[in-house]
Amino acid sequence: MKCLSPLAASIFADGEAGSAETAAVNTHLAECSRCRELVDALRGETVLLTDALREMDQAAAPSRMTGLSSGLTLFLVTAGLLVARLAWQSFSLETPAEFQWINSMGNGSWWQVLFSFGFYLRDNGTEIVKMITTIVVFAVIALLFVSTTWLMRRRSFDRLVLFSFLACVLVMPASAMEHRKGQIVTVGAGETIQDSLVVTGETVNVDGNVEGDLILFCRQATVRGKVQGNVISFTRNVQLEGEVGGSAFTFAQWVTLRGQTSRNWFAFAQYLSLLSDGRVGSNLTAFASDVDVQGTVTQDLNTFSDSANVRGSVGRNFTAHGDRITLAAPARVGGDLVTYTHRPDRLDVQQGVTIEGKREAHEVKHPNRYARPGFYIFQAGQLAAAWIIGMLLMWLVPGMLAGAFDGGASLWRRIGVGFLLLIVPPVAIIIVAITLVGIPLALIALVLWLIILYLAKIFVAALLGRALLGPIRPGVGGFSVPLFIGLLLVFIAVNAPFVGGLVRLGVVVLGLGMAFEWLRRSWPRGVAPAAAQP
Amino acid sequence: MEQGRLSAVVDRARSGEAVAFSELYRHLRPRILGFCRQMLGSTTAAEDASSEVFMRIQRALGDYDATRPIEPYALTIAKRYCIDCLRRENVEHRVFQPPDETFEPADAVTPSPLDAVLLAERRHLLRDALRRLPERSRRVLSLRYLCELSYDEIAEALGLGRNHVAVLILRAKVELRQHVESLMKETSR
Repeated sequence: MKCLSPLAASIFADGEAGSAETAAVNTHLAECSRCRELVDALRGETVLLTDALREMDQAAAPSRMTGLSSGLTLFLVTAGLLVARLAWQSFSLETPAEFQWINSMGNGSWWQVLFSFGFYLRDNGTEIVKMITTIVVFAVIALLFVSTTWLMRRRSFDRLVLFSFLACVLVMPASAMEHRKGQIVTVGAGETIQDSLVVTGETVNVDGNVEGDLILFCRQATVRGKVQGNVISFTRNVQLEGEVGGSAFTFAQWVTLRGQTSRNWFAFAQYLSLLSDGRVGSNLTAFASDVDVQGTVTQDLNTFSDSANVRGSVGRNFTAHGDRITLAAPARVGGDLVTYTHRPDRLDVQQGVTIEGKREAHEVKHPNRYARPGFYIFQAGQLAAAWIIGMLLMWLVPGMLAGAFDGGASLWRRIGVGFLLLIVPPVAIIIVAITLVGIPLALIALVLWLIILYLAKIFVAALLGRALLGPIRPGVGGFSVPLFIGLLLVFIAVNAPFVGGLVRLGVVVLGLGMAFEWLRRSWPRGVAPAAAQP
Repeated sequence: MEQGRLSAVVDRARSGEAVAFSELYRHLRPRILGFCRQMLGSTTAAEDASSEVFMRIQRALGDYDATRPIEPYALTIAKRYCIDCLRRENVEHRVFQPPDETFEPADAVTPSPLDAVLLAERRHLLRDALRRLPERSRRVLSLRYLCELSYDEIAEALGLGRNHVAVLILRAKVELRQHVESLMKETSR
C-alpha cells in the first residue's frame, strides 16, 4: 500500500475508515514510520481542537453571567442615580469660579448645554428634579420587574432578586428625605421633621426634633434638638448637645458631645471632647489627634489618638492606642484598661483613678512584623479572601481570569498600560470631582478603580498559577489549585523584606494591564472575529 | 445528583409523576441546552430545541431501559432532534454546498498537523485561529469534535454525501493550520 493521502489519514485518524480500509492502513502503519507519525499528530491535533472548541463554547455560553450582569448593571445604575440625586440635592449646581472659562470656550458646546441644563434645573427649583427622579425611579423599578420576570424564565433569577432588593433598599430612603440648604439653616425649637433630614449650609442649628436620621454637610453645626435616628455629620465643627436616638458618626475637625447618644459614637476628628454632662449609650470609638473624655461612656471606649485624656467614666473596657494616655481623677474604668503606647512612661494613671478590671500595658515597638503570629494569620485571611474572590470571579465571569493573558499584547505592553492605569484614574477622578457635578461620577470611578486595584493581584496570581501548573482543566474546579498556588506566591513575594514594596507595585501594574487587556478583548466580542476574517 | 437518587427519580418520572419529571428536567436541562447550542450554533434555537427534546424524552421514557444511564440516552434523543433540525434548515437555505470532491491538497502545501508542544503555552492562538475560520468550516469542526457526531450523522444533518463531509473536515483543518501558522508568525515578529 502507498503512503496515506492527507484525506485518507484524516479519515483514518477520525476512526471513520471502513473495516477493510482500516486493516490495510494498520498494516501499512506497522512498517511506515512517517505515516504513523502523521496519524499520531492528527490524533493529537484532534485533542487540541476539541479542547479549544470546548473552551470557546464555554466562553460563549450565555451562562448565569447574562443574568448577573444585567442585575449588576441595574444595581450600579440605581446606586449611581441615588448618589447623583443626593449630590444634586446637596450641592447647588454652580460652576466653580475657576471653571467659568469652560463656558466661554468656542467649541465647548457640549459643556455649554450641560451647564445651562444645570442652571435651568437649579432655577426651576426642585420640582423638576423631583419629577425626573420619580420617573427614573419608576422606570428602574419597572425595569427590575421586567427583568426579574424575564430571568425567572431563565432560572437564574435568585441573584437578580437579591440585587433588586438591594437596589430598592437604596432607592427607598431617598424618597423619605427632606433637604434643607442655605447660608444659615435653622430648625426651630418647636419644629418636628418627620423624615430624615439632610442639611447643607454654612451654619446649621438644629433645635427641633428630627424623627429620622440627620445628615449634615456644613461648616458649623449645633444640634440641640432630639434626633431619633442616627446623626451623620461631615462638618468642620460640630456640637451635639441634644439627644441622639441612634448612633452618631462624626467626621469633623472639632467635635463636642454635650448631650447623649443612645447607641454608639464613631468619631473621626482632630479634637474630640466628651464633656462632663455628655453620655454615650454604648461604645465610643474615636480616631482623633486629641481625645478628651470627661463624660460617661456606658460600655467600651476605644481610642486611636496621639493623646487621650480621660477624667470621666467608662462602663466597661478602655482600650487606648496612642502616644500619650492620661487617666486623671475622678476617672473610673468598669472593666480592663488596655493600653498600647510606645514607651511605658507615656501612660499616666494618676491618683484617685478607679480601675475595676485588669491593667494591661503593652509597649508598641516597631517590631519585626515577621515575628508576630498575627501577621501570618492576617496574611492567611487575606489569601483566603483573595482566593474566594478569585473563584467567585471565575464562576461569575467565566473566561475573565483565563482570558486576561491570552491575546497578542506583550508583557511589556501590559505593564505599560497598567502603569498608565495606576496613574491616570486618580488624576482624572480628582479633576472630575472638582467640578462638583462630577462628584458622584468620581465616587463611582474611585470605587471601581479600587476594586480593580484589589483584583490586580488575583489576575497576576492566576497567570502565575497557570504558567507553573500548565494548562488548566476547563471549568471552575480545575482552577482552584493553580489560583491558590499563584496567590500563595504573590503573597509571599509582596511581603518579602526589602523588595516586597517593589514587587507589590509590579504586581499591581501588571494586574491592571491584564484587567485592561481582558476588558479590551471581551468588549467587542461579537465584532472582533468578524473583522478578523479576511 | 448521585446515581442512586437519579435512577429513583427516573423511575418515578416513568410512572408519570410530574414532580419527578420536573426534577429530572432540572438535572438534565443544562447539559441538553448546551449540547443543542453546540449543534445548532445559536442560543435561541437551542432553547426551542431543548423544550422539544424534553417533550420527546417524556414520551420516550416508557420505552427506556432503566438499567442504562439516563444522560447518554437523553443526549441521543437531543442529537437525533438536532440533526433533523439542521437537515430542515439546510434544505431551506442550502448553507452547505457540496464541496469539490477532487479537493486533495498536495503534501507540499498542506501544513502539518498542529503541534501540541508548540501550542501548549499559546492555546489562545488556536482559539483565535478558530475565530478566523469561515462560519461553515467552524460548524463542521464543532459538529465532529465538540458534538462528536460521526461522518454519517454529519452527512445526514447537512444533506451531503459522506465523502463530502470528509473533504469538508479536512479542508477546515487545513485552513485552521494555515491560520495558526500565520498567527504564530505575527506574534513572533
